[in-house]
Amino acid sequence: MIAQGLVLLTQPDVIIALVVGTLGGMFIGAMPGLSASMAVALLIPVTFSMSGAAGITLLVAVYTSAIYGGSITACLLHTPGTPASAATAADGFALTKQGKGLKAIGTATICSMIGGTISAFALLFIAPALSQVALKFSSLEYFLIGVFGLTIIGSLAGDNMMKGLLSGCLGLLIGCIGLDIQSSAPRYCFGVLELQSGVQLVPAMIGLFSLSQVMFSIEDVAKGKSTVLDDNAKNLTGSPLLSWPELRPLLPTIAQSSIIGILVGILPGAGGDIGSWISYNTAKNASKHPEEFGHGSYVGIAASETANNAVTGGALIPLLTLGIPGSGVAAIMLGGLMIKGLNPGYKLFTDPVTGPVVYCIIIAFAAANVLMGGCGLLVCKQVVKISTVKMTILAPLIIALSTVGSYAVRQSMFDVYVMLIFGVIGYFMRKYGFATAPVVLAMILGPIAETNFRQTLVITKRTGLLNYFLTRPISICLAILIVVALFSPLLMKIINKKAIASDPNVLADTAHED
Amino acid sequence: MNKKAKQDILVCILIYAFMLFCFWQTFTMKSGSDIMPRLILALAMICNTALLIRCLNQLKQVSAEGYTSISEIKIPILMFFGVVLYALAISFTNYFIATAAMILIFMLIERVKPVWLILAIDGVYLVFIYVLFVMVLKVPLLK
Repeated sequence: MIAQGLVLLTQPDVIIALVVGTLGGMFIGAMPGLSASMAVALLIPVTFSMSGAAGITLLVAVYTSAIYGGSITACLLHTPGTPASAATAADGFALTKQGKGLKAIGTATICSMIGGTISAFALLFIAPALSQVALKFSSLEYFLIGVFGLTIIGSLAGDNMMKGLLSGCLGLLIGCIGLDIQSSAPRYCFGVLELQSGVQLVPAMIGLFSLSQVMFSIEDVAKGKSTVLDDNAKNLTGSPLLSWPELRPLLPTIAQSSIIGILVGILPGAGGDIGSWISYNTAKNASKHPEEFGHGSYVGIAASETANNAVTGGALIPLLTLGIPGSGVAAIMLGGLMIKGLNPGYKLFTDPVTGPVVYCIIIAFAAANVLMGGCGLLVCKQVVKISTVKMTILAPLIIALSTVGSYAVRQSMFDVYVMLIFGVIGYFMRKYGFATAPVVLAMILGPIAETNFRQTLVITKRTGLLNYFLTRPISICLAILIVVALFSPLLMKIINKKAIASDPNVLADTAHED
Repeated sequence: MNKKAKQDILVCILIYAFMLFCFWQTFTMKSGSDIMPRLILALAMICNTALLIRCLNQLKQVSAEGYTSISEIKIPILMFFGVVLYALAISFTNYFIATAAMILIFMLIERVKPVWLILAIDGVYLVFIYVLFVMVLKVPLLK
C-alpha cells in the first residue's frame, strides 16, 4: 500500500498540489489574521475538481505550512501570523532586535520541518494505537489538561509573578464573555449582540501583540530609533542554517516537543496554539537557564515551533483512523475527506481503493514539511531584511494589515474595534510590566477548562467527583503532572542551589553546555 | 519616594475598581453562570493585594527606574487615536480609500521621503490586498 501511495505521489496533479499548497500555506500563515483553518475552508471548493489524492494533499500541505508561516512575522515583527506562533513571538522578536533574526527564522524553519516530519511518521506507523488512547479521555481529563495548560502562566509571567497571574486572570475573565455554555445566559455582554459569541481570539491577539508593538515602535521613533533592530545590532549577515554545535543542544527539546505536539494534536479540540505553549513551558522548566526564555532563547523557539507543527500530524491521526478531528482545521478537513469519498476508519487504510490514496496523502504530508523547510531556508535571507526597513514605513503597513486581518475573520467591523481595544490594553500592560502572553493563553484554555469542569460536575453528580477521579488512571497521571509543573521551578532552584553549593564548578559547566 | 512604586499602587487601585465592577456584574448573571467569574475575581483579588503590599514595601526606596512619564506615552496615544479615526473612516468609506489616506498621511507626518516612494508603497500594498482579499478570498472590503 505504501509503495502504491508513493507511485500516486508522483502524479503531476499531486506534485502541483503539494508545491502550491506548501508555498500558499507559508504565505497565508505569515499574514496576520489569516489562519490555517480559514485557508483550508476556502480551499475545499477548489478541491472539488481535483482527484482525491491531489485535493487532500493540497489541504494537508496548506495546513502544515500555514502553521510554520506564522512564525516568520512572529520573529520579525512581533506579529504572530497564527495563534500557534504566539509563543514564538517573544523570543523570536528579541533575537531579531539583537540582529539575529536570520538565525531565529532558521531555527523556527528547521524545528518546524523536523516536528512536522516526525508527526508524519507517527501518522504513518503508530496512528491506530495512539488514537485509541485519545478515545479514553473524558471531560475530567480535558479539564485537567486545561488546568495543566494554565500552570504555564507562571513561566510566562516575566519578572513579576503576581503581574503575570493578574494577566492570566484578565484572560480568564475575557474567556467568560459570551453565552454561558449550560444556561445560555449572557455574561459580560452589556447588551452587545456581537459579544454573545465571545471575544474572538484572532483580533484580540493581533491587538495585544501587533498593534501594541506598533505603539512601542512609534515611541522608539520619537526617541530617534529608526528600525526594530537595537543600536548595536546592524549585522544581518550569517547563515540561517544551524551548525552542529548550535543544533545539538536543541535536539532534546525538539524530541520532547515533537512528542508533546503529537499527543496534543491527537486530543480533539486542542490545536497548535495549546501544543506550542505546553511545549514552551516544559522546555523552560527543564532548562538550566529559564531566565533566557522570553529574552531571545533559541530553545524557546525550538520548543514552540517543533510542537505546533507536530500538532498538525497528530491532529490527522484521530481524523483518519476514527473520524474524530484533532483540531479545528482537521474538523474542516473531515468535510473534504467525506466529499472525496474517503470515510475515516480502519478500513480506509486497508481498502485497495482508498488505501493507496491515504498513504499518498500521508507521504505527501511528510514531503510538504520537507519542502516547507527547504523553501523557508531559501527565502529567509530575503525575508529577514524586513527588520532593516524603517519603522515609519512598516508601522502604517502593519496597522493596515492588522485591520484587514481582524476584519477578515468574521467580516465584521466589530472585530476591528476589538483589535483596537486590545491594542491599547496590550500597550499599557507591557508598559507597566504585565506580560500579554498569559492573556492569550488564558483566553484559549479558560473556556476549555470551565466547560469540561462543569460537564464533569454533571457526570459525577451521583458517584461523586473524588470517586470518579480515583477510578481514572489518566486523570491521576494528569493531576500528578500539574503538581510537578507547579512545583518544578521551585525544585529546580533548590537542586541548582545545592549543586552550586556542593561544587562551584557546576555553574561554569552548565553555562558551557548551553 | 519611589515613583515607580507609586505608579504601581495607582495601577493596583485601578485593577481593584475594575474587579469591583466585574464582581457587581456577576449579580446580573444566572445562578451557576456566575461561579467561574467569581472564582477568577477571587484569585485576581489575592494577586492584586499581594502586588499592592509589595509596592507599599518598595515605596520608601529612592528610585525612578521603570517609571512611565506622560511625555513618553503621548505620541503612541496620539497614534492610537489616529488608528481609531482610520477605523471610523473605514466604516464611512471603505477599506481601500481609508487605507490609502492613512498610509499617505502617516508617512507624510513621519517625513518619509521622497513622496513618490510613499505613493508607490501605497499603490503596491492596495493592489496586493485587492488581489488576495477581494479577488481570491472574496472578503467584501469594497462595501
